[in-house]
Amino acid sequence: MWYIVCITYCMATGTAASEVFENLRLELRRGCLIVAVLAQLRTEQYGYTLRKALADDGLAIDEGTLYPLLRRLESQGLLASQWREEDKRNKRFYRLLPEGEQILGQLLEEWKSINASLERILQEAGGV
Amino acid sequence: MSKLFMGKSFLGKSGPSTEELLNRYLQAVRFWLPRTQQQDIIAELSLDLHSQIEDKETELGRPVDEAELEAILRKCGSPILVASRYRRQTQLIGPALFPIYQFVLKVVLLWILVPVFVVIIGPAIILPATPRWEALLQTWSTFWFALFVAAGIITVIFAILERSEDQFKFFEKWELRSLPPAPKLEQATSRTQTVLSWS
Repeated sequence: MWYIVCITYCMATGTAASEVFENLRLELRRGCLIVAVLAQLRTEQYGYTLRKALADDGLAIDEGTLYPLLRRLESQGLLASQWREEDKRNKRFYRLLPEGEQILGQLLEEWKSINASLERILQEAGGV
Repeated sequence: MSKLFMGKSFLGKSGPSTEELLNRYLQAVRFWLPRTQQQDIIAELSLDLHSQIEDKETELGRPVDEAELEAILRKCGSPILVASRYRRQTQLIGPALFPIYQFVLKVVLLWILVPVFVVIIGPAIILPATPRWEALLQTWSTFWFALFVAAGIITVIFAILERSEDQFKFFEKWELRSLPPAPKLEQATSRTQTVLSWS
């Protein structure tokens, strides 16, 4: 009886821990994805090829996240989009605007400084 | 401007059911989208899903079946969830205003409405009335009506505040000296000391 209770408890806490990890992972990835999308759009692409390029580089992003993000970045004036026909299909192509390039530069600086701080904190915590 | 892309080359081969299922999915997403953006968003999402299906078919060397299509759509997510990501404001009252909303609701309903009914309105109506139980019943129903109306009005006001531009200005305006004095509790002091001893 106690064994079953213990197993159930361990399974429940295990699921909760993985859920917590998943939520934190998504939070951590969110900002990085924006930087990656902006950087990737230095060359014009449409949604699906952009998603494939990001996945090939190890940053998979699902369609439900990417397209709303692209819309938001466009409404903020960082990207421009255009519907064009390619291979007999209408595709929406996105590209980085000069304003986006400027913001991307600033974000990359910020990212580098966060990275350096984290490195320092981890080194101090690790006692190296 | 943009046409809904419906590929004939791949889904056409696998019979009308998969095409129909995909259209149902897109239709369901469309239903929850802001009207002005529906066509644009669906055209883009449709192209992505068709490209995924096409890639899958190239990989398999045959048209996708219903289960494979379902797997692709399940990975994309529930139609309401997919559509909700395109909406900017999804909260009636956001996390910044919510504590104030909760506080106002508590003050108005519990500390004003309930005492007013119990101490003033209730006795004024019930005591002189005959029969009293009829007046009591009427006051009881009026009390609940007033409760819901008050809660409704407060909610509407906060929902409007949530959507106003001045919300952030309101949070910026605060003075350190005008904050209420802190009670000198044992516990509060000990907590402060603990925090200080850490630093």
